[in-house]
Amino acid sequence: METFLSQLIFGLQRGTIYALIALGYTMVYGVVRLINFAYGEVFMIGAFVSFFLVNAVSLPQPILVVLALLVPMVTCSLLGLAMDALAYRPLRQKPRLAALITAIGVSFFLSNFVSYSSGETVRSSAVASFLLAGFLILYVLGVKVLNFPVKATPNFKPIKFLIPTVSLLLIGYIFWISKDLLTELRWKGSSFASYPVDRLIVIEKIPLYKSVYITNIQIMNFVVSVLLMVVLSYLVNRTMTGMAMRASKNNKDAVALMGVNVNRIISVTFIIGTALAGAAGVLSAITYPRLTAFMGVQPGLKAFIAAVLGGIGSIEGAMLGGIIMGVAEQFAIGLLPSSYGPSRIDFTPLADGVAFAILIVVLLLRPQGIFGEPPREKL
Amino acid sequence: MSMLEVQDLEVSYGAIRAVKGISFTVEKGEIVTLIGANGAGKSTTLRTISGLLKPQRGKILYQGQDITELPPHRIVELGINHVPEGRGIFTNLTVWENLMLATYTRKDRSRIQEDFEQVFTIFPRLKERSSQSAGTLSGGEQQMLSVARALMTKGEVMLLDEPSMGLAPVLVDEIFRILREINRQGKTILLVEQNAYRALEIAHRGYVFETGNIVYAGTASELQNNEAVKKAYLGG
Ligand SMILES: Nc1ncnc2c1ncn2[C@@H]1O[C@H](COP(=O)(O)OP(=O)(O)OP(=O)(O)O)[C@@H](O)[C@H]1O
Ligand SMILES: [Mg+2]
Repeated sequence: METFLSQLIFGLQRGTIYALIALGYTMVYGVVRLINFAYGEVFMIGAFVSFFLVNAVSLPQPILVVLALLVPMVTCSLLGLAMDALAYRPLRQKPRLAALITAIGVSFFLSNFVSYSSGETVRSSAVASFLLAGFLILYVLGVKVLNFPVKATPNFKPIKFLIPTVSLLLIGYIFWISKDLLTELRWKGSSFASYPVDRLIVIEKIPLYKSVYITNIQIMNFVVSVLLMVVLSYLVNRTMTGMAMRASKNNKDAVALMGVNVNRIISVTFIIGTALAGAAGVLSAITYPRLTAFMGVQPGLKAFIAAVLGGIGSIEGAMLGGIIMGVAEQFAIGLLPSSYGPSRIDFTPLADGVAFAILIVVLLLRPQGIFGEPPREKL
Repeated sequence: MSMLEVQDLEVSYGAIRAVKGISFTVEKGEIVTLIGANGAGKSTTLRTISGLLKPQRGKILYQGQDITELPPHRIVELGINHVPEGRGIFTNLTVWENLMLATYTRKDRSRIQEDFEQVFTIFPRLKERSSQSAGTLSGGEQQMLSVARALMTKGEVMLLDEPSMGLAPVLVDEIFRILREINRQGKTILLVEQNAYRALEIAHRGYVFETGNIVYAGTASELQNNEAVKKAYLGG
């Protein structure tokens, strides 16, 4: 009973993190029918931005906690906007497979970009961002001034390139100034960076029932995720933007005929999804403070499966799917013999297989997921 | 200056030329109808006016302003509302939400409650069902909702694509009566109809489409009395 309860608490914590990432997958899918595979990388970048921030500034703890969460969320949503504008929007009218493969490319690009940005090569990554930003500026100037390489039409608005350019400059700048910081933290010496949790919060265990306890980090994790989900529900169900978002699932042309700028709605969806994934990255880094460039791959994949389990496109589905996934995985970890047990062999990595077992079962029994509508032919 | 002026419009879907260089005008306060057989290019014309399709050639002027290159939401903001073929109802939203979303571009937020009341007096069925999911409405009710949405947007011009499609005769009467009433209150209407007979009854003028071209144009009574039009579209 006691083990059950502690495992449940750990499982719920894991689950809320999956749920936050899964929300991004499901919301963007609902509006543009695109699986943006890069959420795992956004999650990773969220963790890194928070890591840089917490190491770089010294502020009173409460303020630092809020900033450690908000700054990565904002940075990630800028990244989301840039991703959409640069990678996905140009492919909007093309076959869906093109955007899907691009999403895989974006995901590889981001994780490798961060991976190479360690030690001495960090400056070259910064230079790469600056070059890309410079390219965008030249492109806009070229079209505007010389009508090259394409003719400027009334729809060509330089303002659309502002956010991608600014975010590239920002990312480049962060890497540029972080070189010494990374060296100092012996980033290169070890295979991972360690998130300085103690600068944010002193871990305390709060006893709940007999030997069952909850940590203040877990409480923070729950409070933040529930708060984010409440804000999200309000936004989606009670605002005009949310209404337009839900309507876009149904019929995008008709949404445009209501006077809604559908591209703006898509941007908002990307902002929300990437901000949530960024927040998940920070929450995860505080609990499991090991940062690597590929730390987002597993959570990203599992959150995607969680979204499929819940019914891709459904917001409630993503929340529930994430929780189920987290709890199931935690129980598997608890049940599998670990290296501390008699066998001395660690079987806990097998828990990663739970996600895929769930995926197989869902695809066999209910391909549309828990809340998904059965696929139907468009009339 | 015409309310709406289409000049030499040509629209293709890939290699298929659906509209082959048509021109027509709609004056303020008019009901103008576009009639013609299936696949003649009527819906394509409306979709191009509202910005969902971009033409290969030609221009669309709204109150003298060139709107050809504008995206659909800008065209709605300027005052053109399109009630599309197949109604374009958001079946996963409630009736109320469908109507609310139609007010997206409006700046006069305080007047919206009033307009809800007004729309509900025209369509009492929608009031009864306002909190119901729009997907549960009958075809006729969905058509009413589609027109009601356009009223909530409060544009100057309404483009309607086959509002009578699939409706029982009493409901067709009802829709046409409402359109005439809306027009009397000042709305300019461009009406696409299969049911040429009924359309010409309420229209001031009309254009007859045939495979992407306009083949006849005239006042409603001229078209009603034109032998060729009678024979092809009025069943006699
Ligand atoms: N999305 C599309 N892709 C390719 N061809 C299309 C598409 N939509 C319409 N067409 C073709 O364009 C032509 C004109 O179609 P349109 O829908 O404008 O006709 P319509 O006059 O509205 O007909 P109806 O009375 O049946 O609604 C037809 O030949 C049709 O097959
Ligand atoms: Mg049609």
